[in-house]
Amino acid sequence: MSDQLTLPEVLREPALTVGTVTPGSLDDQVLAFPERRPPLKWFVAIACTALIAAIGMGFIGYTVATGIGVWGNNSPVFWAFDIINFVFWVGIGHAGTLISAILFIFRKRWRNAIARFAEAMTIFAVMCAGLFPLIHVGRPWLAFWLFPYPNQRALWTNFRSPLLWDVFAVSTYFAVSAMFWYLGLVPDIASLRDRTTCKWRKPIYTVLAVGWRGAGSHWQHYEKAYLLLAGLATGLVLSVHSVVSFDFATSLVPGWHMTIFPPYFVVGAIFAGFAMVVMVLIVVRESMDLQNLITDYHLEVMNKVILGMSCLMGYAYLMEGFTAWYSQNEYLHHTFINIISGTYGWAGWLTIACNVVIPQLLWFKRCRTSYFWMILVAVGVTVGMWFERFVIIVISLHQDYLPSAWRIYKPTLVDFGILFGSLGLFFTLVLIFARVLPVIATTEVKGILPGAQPKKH
Amino acid sequence: MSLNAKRLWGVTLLGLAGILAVYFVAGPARFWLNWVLWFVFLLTLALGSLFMVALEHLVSSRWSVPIRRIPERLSTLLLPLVPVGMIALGAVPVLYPGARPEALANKLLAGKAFWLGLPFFSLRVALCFLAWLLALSVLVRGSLRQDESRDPQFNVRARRFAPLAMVFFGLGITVVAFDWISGLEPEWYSDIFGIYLFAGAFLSALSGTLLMVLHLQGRGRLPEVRRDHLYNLGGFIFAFTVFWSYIGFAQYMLMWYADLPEEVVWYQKRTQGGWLAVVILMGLLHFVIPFFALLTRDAKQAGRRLHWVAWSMLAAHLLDLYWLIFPVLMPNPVLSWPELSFALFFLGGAFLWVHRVRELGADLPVGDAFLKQGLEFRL
Repeated sequence: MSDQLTLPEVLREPALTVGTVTPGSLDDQVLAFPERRPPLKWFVAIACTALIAAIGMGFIGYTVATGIGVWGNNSPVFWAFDIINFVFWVGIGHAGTLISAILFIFRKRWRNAIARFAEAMTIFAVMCAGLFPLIHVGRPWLAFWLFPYPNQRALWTNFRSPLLWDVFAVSTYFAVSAMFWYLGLVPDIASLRDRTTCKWRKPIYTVLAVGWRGAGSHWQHYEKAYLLLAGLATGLVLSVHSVVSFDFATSLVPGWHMTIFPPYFVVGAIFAGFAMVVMVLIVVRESMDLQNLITDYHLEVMNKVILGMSCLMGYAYLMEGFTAWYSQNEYLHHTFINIISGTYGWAGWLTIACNVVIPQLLWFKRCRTSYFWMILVAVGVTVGMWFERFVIIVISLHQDYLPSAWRIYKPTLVDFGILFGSLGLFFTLVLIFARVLPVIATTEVKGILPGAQPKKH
Repeated sequence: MSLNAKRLWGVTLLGLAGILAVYFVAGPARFWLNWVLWFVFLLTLALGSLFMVALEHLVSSRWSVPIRRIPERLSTLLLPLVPVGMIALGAVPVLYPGARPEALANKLLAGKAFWLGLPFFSLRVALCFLAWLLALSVLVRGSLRQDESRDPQFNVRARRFAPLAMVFFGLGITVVAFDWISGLEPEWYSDIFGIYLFAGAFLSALSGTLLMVLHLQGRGRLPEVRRDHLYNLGGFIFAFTVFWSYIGFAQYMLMWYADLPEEVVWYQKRTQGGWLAVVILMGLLHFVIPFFALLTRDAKQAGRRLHWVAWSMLAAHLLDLYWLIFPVLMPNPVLSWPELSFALFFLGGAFLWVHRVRELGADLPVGDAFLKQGLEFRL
């Protein structure tokens, strides 16, 4: 600490916790939430989100009962809201894995306080994402046909189809994220088990804590497993959204067949995910009084990541525009003109404004530390990233090679209903999580409390 | 290996004689192919080093402070590369179809002839060099000055400048990739290409840095740099071999899958005849071998292993550029006296430069406000 005082103010590293936080006070603060009865505002919030989710489920039920003709999809826009929402939600999940796995490997200690929450959001986001391909197949009860299994009709999945790669990529991602999240939860659940006096909670926590006693050998295995899963999850951050991008990029559709798609999708996913994490974290921090653990510094660095990702998005847009011209390919050129001036030109400009222009506000420290500005940017990015997928999917499809096949796409009420329903489902799950399990990994935060780390060997 | 200035001068001059002979005996095309190859190779090494320096300031990395002087020294290679780049412009009318008058008759090239033509090409080269030299001056010269002044304000300035340096670097390396490499076949386009070259550049800079650290340590210098620091360098090389492969695979797979004539022809040229062997060798050198060699924790701290992996990584990057550039004119890989002369000339010259800048500033950035934290870094 004493070295820090000689530094200019901007170079000083802020503390990762505010005020006096001891291991005991940390447990009391964080683990108390699952033990207490939630306040009224929580019930109000979950009632609203659950209602929205229920309406969405209603629309899904209507779709399944009637057929996907109730959506706005047409020929040639065979893919629309369903795939947009799928890509949108898978993308939201990426921030959680980046925070929990990649920042762990980079030893960024600020991630410890927010990793648990971000990872939970990953899992819920992937659940929401999985919903859309499931209903898009039309007969969800036959969705198991997506998996290759021996059957009497000798039906076999097409291994050359990127859609099948998606099945494997997303299910692997979900499985590894869930394991990683649960592994990190085990020591905390054990603490809950030891603290609780409630008769019916105790056996649940006991089962979930899988016999964790905090012994040295437990920690040794835990650390090893955590590092290995982090390594696996790191690869998955790149692979999952790359495979999602292959759904588009392997095709011949102008505007889809771009070699930059894999890294560009990954960047966009992290970008959108961080925006969602910032928004939800602000609500959690304020409503649960966690300002001493999730500090202004946490929000500021997350906003810096958003800014960095926004610049990379700008690079990707620049490269797309440049390639549309440099290739001298008239179809590519036509698609690009459609993005900035066609029927959906407004969506193209909205995407650029939300993803590249507005986040530039974060160059200013004041915007990175003020709720108003960071929420503005985060909402902008969330909207912008949804519309980016709209631009990619709908604009590219609605006018491709054959002008006689061109058609305008209009979403229906059912499309919107399911989209908002998925938002409702996501926030319902987040709200339940916030009250049932510790939102902050207490064991990991204990590791970054002052004095917890030996300075010298 | 001892870096002896006299011997290096001898090698370089021998190479110079050789490359002059190449021009007149083997022809200008062969000469320029080699010239562009070595120019881009050394340029990516220098730019990658500059990127490492800027990255440290951008993300406030602490562990890398004790080794930062090494990429700073390597990035000064940009200075001798200015004349090399100016001379390389001589290749434009010879090797680059877009800059020739026939381009106007080609439907696909006519529309972008002004972009590919020599005047605008030269302007881009000049602008890029100006931007990079500015970054070099702010980040590297400032850091050298800090050795004396010990003024923490340099860290503030460098941190503010780092994002701009990243913009210079990102756009610059994209321009290098599009102009010098994909411009050889101007009908071909791939918008990931800048990132592909970035991956190679960063890897070669990491390897160069690692080699120089090990070299200095072998002479009893940099005793403060510990295995922990080497581990991180090794980890970065490990991660970015995977990244390079990911980008390379993405580009290949998407083009193979779509099978568009204007795209696949580029790969067809590069996988036919002897080039297929080069592809396989590159896959081994650039991915398989370093991946498995550095997979374990101990391997990333073992000096000897890091040493050979770093050398093979540099070789792989050179091979990669060779594979990108040479198939334009060569139906089969060539390795004869012209290539060897160029290797002697440019390697000799580069080593001469490194030999000189080895003494540039203190081995550690002694004035840096975060040096102490960097030295305290433990895994």
